[in-house]
Amino acid sequence: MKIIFNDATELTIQSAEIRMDGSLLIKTISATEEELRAIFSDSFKLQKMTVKERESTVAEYENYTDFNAVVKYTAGILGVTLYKKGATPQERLSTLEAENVELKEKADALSAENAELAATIDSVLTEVIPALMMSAEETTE
Amino acid sequence: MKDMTTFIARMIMKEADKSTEAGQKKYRAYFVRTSLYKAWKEDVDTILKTDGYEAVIVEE
Repeated sequence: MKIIFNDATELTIQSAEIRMDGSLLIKTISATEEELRAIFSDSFKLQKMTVKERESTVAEYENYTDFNAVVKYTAGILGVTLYKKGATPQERLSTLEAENVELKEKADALSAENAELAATIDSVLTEVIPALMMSAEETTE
Repeated sequence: MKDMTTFIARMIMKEADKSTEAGQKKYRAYFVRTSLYKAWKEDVDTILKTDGYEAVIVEE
């Protein structure tokens, strides 16, 4: 299995997968830690990565340009974790927190609007309509 | 017309949460001072009793 980087260079890898936190984990035994740091710090290379196995495209990854860490596994396997720009767990959490605040404000505004509408309807039902009905009856008499 | 039932019950319960007297006043507005909403009275009474607001049900 190999990765073909955006600049057409290649790296033999053992695996590439998206993890639950949204990061891309690439495992390899084909480069040293220093080489991996150099490769995966080049954002142009990382703009588009194509994973191929026996000339078939297995996966394509775009914009995983945020190099996070090199991880050492047993048997000399090294792993590289990458995030999409703006999509690290901390950034996603901040975005979600901001969205949550905005949604809460919208919910509060809608709730206030709903209460106002309900009060208006209540007033129409208990005051306006009965008054109109009485007025109509008096006119009829 | 289930929406009408729940709406009226909700308005009465909202007032009843302020005071029993306020709840009774609202109840009168819907079911004593006018007969316009008598079609929903029975169902509203059921809701009020079920939710613990029986004290607001008045006849006059």
